[in-house]
Order: sequence, then structure tokens, then C-alpha cells
Amino acid sequence: MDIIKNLDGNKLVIALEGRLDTSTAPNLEAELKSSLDGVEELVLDFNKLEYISSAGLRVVLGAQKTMSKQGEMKLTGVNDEVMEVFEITGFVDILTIE
Amino acid sequence: MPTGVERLLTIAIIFAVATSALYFFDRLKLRKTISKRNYWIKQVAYGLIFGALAVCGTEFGVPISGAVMNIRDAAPLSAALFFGPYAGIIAGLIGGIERWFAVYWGAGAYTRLACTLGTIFAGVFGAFVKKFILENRKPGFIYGGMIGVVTEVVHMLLVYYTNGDDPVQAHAVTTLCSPVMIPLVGLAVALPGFIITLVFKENLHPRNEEKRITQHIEAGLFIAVILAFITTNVMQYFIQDTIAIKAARDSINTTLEDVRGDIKASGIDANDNEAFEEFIADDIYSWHIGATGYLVVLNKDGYAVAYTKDALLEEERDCSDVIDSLLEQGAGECRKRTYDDISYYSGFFTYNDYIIVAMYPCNEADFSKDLTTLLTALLEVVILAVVFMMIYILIRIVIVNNLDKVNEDLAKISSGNLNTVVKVRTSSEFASLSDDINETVDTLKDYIDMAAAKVEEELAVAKNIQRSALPTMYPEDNRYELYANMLAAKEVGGDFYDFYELDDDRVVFLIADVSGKGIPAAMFMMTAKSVIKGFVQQGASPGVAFTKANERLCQDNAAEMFVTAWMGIMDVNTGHVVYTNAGHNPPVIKQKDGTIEFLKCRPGFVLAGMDGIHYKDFEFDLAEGQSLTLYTDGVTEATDAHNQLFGDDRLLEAVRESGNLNMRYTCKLIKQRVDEFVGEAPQFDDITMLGIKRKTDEDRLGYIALDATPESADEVRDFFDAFCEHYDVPFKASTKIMVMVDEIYSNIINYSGATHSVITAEYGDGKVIMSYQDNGIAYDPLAKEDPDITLSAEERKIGGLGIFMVKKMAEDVKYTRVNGTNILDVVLEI
Repeated sequence: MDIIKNLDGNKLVIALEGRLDTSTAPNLEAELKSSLDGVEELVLDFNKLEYISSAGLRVVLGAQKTMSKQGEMKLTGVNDEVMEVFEITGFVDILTIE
Repeated sequence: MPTGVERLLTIAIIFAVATSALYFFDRLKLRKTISKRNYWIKQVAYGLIFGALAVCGTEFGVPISGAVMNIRDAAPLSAALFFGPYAGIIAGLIGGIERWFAVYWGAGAYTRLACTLGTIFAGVFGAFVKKFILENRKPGFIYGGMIGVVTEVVHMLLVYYTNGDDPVQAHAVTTLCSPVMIPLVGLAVALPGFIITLVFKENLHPRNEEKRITQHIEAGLFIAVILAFITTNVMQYFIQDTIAIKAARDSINTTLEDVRGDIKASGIDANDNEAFEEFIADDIYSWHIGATGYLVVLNKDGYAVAYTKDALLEEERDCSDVIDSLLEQGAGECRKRTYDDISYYSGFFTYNDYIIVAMYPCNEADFSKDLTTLLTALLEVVILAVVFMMIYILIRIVIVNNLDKVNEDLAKISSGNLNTVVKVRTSSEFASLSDDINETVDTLKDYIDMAAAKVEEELAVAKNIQRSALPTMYPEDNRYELYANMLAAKEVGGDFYDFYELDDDRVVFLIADVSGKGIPAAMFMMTAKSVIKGFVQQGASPGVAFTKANERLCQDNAAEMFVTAWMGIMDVNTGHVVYTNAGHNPPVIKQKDGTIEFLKCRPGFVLAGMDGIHYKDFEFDLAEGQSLTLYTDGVTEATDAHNQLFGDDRLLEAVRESGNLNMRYTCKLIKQRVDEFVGEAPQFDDITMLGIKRKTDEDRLGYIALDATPESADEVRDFFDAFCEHYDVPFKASTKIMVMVDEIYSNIINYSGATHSVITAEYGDGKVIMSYQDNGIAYDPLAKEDPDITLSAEERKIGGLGIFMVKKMAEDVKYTRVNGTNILDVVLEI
């Protein structure tokens, strides 16, 4: 999975490309941990994300919890398959999905 | 002999013969058709017949003053005792009422009411005895006689009671009738019992165990009653006799004193015989003893000179012999003597040359004694009969009926209903008996439960033997797949299968069914399996192995068991199968294109059935993608509730239906179809299947064996990527597959502790079927509670979501743990 960051002032855009699963989730988790200081708006761009598994959900939930304290977080370009996962798991109610 | 005895005896015998004849007729001809309606018709018919006999009894009776001496009462009694209570009552009414009106054509009026009531009583009493004492048995000789006697005694008592104002006449009638009627009625009722017993050769002396309790008691009771009767009556007689003699003597002496006084007062010269005779002839009429006693004055020559009874001593009679005996008796004494056939009490005194004799007829002097004695005897018969019956009935109520109840419950218990509780608590003895029985049954129940538990245990042992002998680690080979399964019936059936790799290129597979059930079958199965395996491992072909195994199994086959078996050895590279068949069902071949057929060959005889059988080798080539399904008759002979068999056709259909599923699913599908067919009916036989298939490239694509290391996750992803690409699985579905693979496999490598894992995947019929196996600790992920997905981000716990997603996405997820292996089967609809 590729992670492309784009920081614009307080707004951080992270685009994910590939699969967010057990093997790749730790990478995203590490990336977020090091980049969220001072960020008030986080955008996760899922346009090129193929699928997400529970390991990925864990990281997304962690990011959501962090951003709830210091600003806001939203997800863009969520495809049907990932959306289905969010729906199954109730994440649609927690996340802001555009 | 008393008057009329001969005639009445004849009538009694006619009654008895008529009763016996009717009884034979009834027993031989009529007993077969007993219905309620017939019963009543017969009761009325016999009532009428015996009513007519009773009437004859009256009409042919012996007339005496004021009564008719007869044995009428025997008719209603016999009707009741030999033909049924209602017949008796009807006959009694007919005989009684007729007697009432018989007065108009000559029967004695004096005993009219007594005889009418007596006859009706005879019918009712007979009915009562038949129903409550004899309990519808017929009476024997003794009982018949007793019942007749008691009935007639009551009849006699009725004569007294209905004529209470005239005991002398009543006593005269009963004194005349009793000695004739009582024994003859008794005889008339006793005789039929005697005749019937003789003719039907009934057991006159039943052994103790054949007798009822009441029968045991009745003999003793009877003797006691007779003894009581004799004792009281003898005592009564002697007391009354003594009293009567004393009273007679007092009367006589009083009168003689009066005479003596009168003579003295008359002042006659003691030596003037003439004056004395004159005085006495005039005065003698003023002296009397009782109502009928009289005085006689005898002179020294023995001639009566005066007397108060004109009829006697009219001619001058020489009474010197009387004088001798009187003098011998002595003056002042009182003696009984007979004169002109009449008994008298007599006493005397002498006056000069004369003897003044008092004659007091015994029938007057003893009237009170006779009446009391007879009445007491009659009453006692009745009282003792009542006592006898009361005791009899009491024993029945207190003991026999309760025993019957206990026996009834025991019968229920011995017929298998162990939940029956004996509840006879009418006395301490019966309460304790009931308690003892209940306790015994409870103990018995415990033992039965224990025995059942033991049987269960043995079955479990047999099952364990069977199961432990069956291999469960299926070969992991790219060239073929093999699966086998056995579902033991409750009573282990002795099915088995076997498979093992002979070398890198050859696999042996075998299915067999041992005749018999339970531990012996399981033991025999172990022997058969190891013997066959032994020969195969020595290099024998299937035919040779079976031939040798048969020889071996035929020895020491005390249990006379046998085995049907099918065995093949396949070269897994070429698919060449050498096989042999010992009486087993032919396997099903499934072609790659779905064509189904049986692999038929001429089977040899069953193993262990007979010495010297030679089993042939057959050959067959299994193409890639072809499969063989072996099974036991537990499959084809599975039976539904209507006793229909599952059969070959349904088996072939199930195999066809399995399409290109792997062997595990093929076997499962067959089992599922069998279950559906059988429904609620119990499984009587083991159900065993073994499938072997040569893999195609596609099959190989769906199989991967891994060391369960973290790095292996990539291999799994690649495996499924290739799988999805090969089958052109749509993107949406493939992402789901990848998510599920990630969730499941990460669990295996991170948490299960497994070192080894096998994953298979199949695509067909719009479904992807995945199976994940690992040798980790037993863990059923599906058992875990679903996470609460409605909580807010802050409250959400991460964990459990993965399996939850698998469950949600999959059409079916199933976890099984087989022989140390976790198996998670996932079916996904595409």
C-alpha cells in the first residue's frame, strides 16, 4: 500500500493506494502517529483504496479519536466495497464520509 | 319316619337332577355366547324355570294342619347359586307369591306369610351369597348344603315370628317340619354341586397354592361355627332339661301335698277304705297338674280306683307292674315314664292300701324347654351363619381385596411400568408392604439405570475403539485429494475406512463394514483393518491382501463375524487403480463432466466368511478430475419413517448434485441428503463414506499448505489473488474474499499457536468455498459475542470486528474441531 501525504497548513490530506489490511495497517498507524501533531483537519482520501480489513478499521478509529480532540476528520472517495465494510461495522455512524 | 319324608325326598332328588341337567346344558351349549343381553335373557329364563319348580314344590308338598310341608325354597336357591343372582330373585318372587295365593286352593293358611317371605328370602339370600360370598363361583356340596340349611332355618324362624301370639301352634308346626324340610332343602341344594363336581371331574382336593385365602379360612371357620353350635346347644339342652324336671317335680309334689292335705282335712277314718274311695272319687276332679296332668289312685292289687282322666284306665287294668316300679322309685321322687305311648313325669304317695299317683305329660311339662331349645338352635344357625359370612366378607375386604390391589400394581410393575406406586395403606401391614415394594422398585430402577449407564459406557468404549482406529489426517498432496468420514450409529455398527500412503506415488484406500454391532464388531474391525494393512505393507496387491487376510480372519473367528470391504491402491501420478471387492457396494465414479456411474466388478465373497476364497485384482484408470466415492450400506439403506430405503438412485443423484465440489463437501452433501430423507427416524447403522479425486490444475489452484508464520500471510494473499484472477471473480467479491482471508488468517498466525495450516478454495455454482485448517489450540471464533456497533467512536473497542465482518459477509461460516485440527469453512456467494 502506498501512503501519500499532503500537508497544507493545519490540513493534512492522506491518500491511500492499495489494500489496508493486517500487513499494511501498521504502516499507516506509524505515519499518522508522527504526522497528526497540530493538524486540525485530516482528510483520508480512499479513492484508490481497494479494501479495508479490521486491522485498517482499528487505525482509522484511532485517527478519528485523536482528531475528535484536536479538530475534524473526514474520508473522501470511499468505494462501494469499503463503504460496505463501514456499514457492516457501524463505522458509518462514527466517521464523516463525503 | 316322619310323615311325607319319602315324597319330599323324591322331590329333592328331582330338583337336584333338574338343576344339574340345566347346568350341563348351560355349560355345554350356552356359555359360548356371553353378551350383556344374553346374560339378562338367561337370568329371566332361569328365573322362570326355577319359579315354576318352586310352584311345583308347593303343589306337590305334604299338607299338614295349617301348613304344607315342602322344599320349595330349594328352587330359588339353586337358581341363584348355579345360574345367577337375578334368576334366584325372580324364582323366589314367583315361588313366594304363588304360595300366598295357594291358600285359595288348599295350602295351609297358618304359615302363609312365613312361607311367602321365606321363599322370597331364599331367592335374595341365594343372590347375596352368589355375588358376595361365592363371588359368582358355583357352590360345592358342603356350601350348598349349608346354604340350604340356613335358608330353611330362617324359614322356620319366620313361622315363629309371624305367629308370635300362638307359640304352641307355631312350635307344633316347626317341630313337625324342621326335621324334614331343613335337611331335605339342604340336600336338594347340595346335590347339584356334588353331581356337577363328579361329572366335570373337578379338582376336589386343590393344592394349597390353588386355594384362595378365604378357602383356607372357611374350613377352620366352619369347624369353629359347628363347635360353637354344638357346645351352646348341648349346654342349653341340659340346663333346660334340669330346669324342666325340677319344675315338673315341684308341680307334682305341690299337687300331691294338696291331695294329702285334703284327705287329712276330710277327717276320714284312716282304716275305712270304702269311705276313702268314695271321697277320692268325688274329690279327685278338683286336683290337677298343669293343664293336662292328672291323678290316678291305685289300690294294693294294682287296680285304679279313681282317676281324673276319663279316657284312661276306663277298664280296670292291672297296674301291679306300675306299682312295683313306683315303689322302687320311692315316694317323693319324680320320674319320667311312658304309659300308653305317652311320656309322663310321675310321682306318688301311699295312703293305707292306696297309692296316689300324679301323671304330668312331658309334652306339657317340657314345652318351654322344647321351644327354647329349638328356637335357640334355629337362631344360632342364623347367627353363626351371619357371623361366618361377616368374617368371610371382612377378610375379603381387609385382606383379599387389598392383596388383589397390590397384585394388580405388581402386575403393572412386572409388565415394565416401573413408575407404578403401590398405595394400599388400609392397615399397617399393607402400608409396610406397599412401602417395601415401592422401595424395592426404586432400588431396581437405580440398578436398571446403572445397567443402562454401563451399556452406554460400553457403547462409548466401542465407539472410541472404532473412532481411534480411523485415520483423520488427510493426505496433503497436489495430485489427489482424499476425504473420509464415519458417523457411528448409537449401537456401533463396525464400519471402518482406512487410507495411507504406501510410498510417494501410491495411496491405499479402503472401506469396510463388519457384520454385527457393539464391542465385538469394533474389536473385529480392528483386527481386520490391521491384518489387511499388514499384508498390503508387505507388498501384496489388493486381491492378494484380501485373499491372505481372509485366511487369517477365518481362523479364530468364534463370533462368526464377517466383513464386506472394498480396497484400491492408486498410483497418484497416473491414476491407475488396482482394486478388489469382498462383497461390498460398488463405488460411485464421477467424471469431470459430471457423468455418474457405479464402478461395477464381480465382487468376491465377504471376508472371514469362508476359507479358501481367492480375491481377484481389477484395474481401472482414474482420470484427472474424476473421483471415486466409496460408502457403506448405512448410506443406501438409511431408512425413513415409512421404511423406505435411501437407495442407489438417491445416492447417485446426491453425487451428481455435488458438481465439482471437493470430496469433503461431496461427502457432506450426501450425508445432508441422507439426513433430509431419514427425517426423524433413528439411525440404525453407521454411515461411512470415503472419497478420492485426482486433482486438476484448477484443484491445485485451490489448495495451499503453509507453515503458520507471520510471513506466510503474503503467500496466502498471493494464493487468493491468483485464485480470484483465475476464476475471474468480480472485484466486489474478491475484495470481500481478501478481507475475510486477512481476518481469518491473521487470527491463525497471531493467536492460535498453530505451526501448520492448510487452506483450500473452490469456485463453482456461483459460490466460493474456503476451508481454513490449522493445528492450533481449539478455538471457535464464531462463539465469540458480536461487538456492539452502535457505540460512539470514543466508546468503541477495537477487537472482534474481524470475525464479525466475516460472519456478515459470508453466506455460511462453520467451525469444527476434528482430531486436533481447527476447521473453519466459509461459503461466499458471488
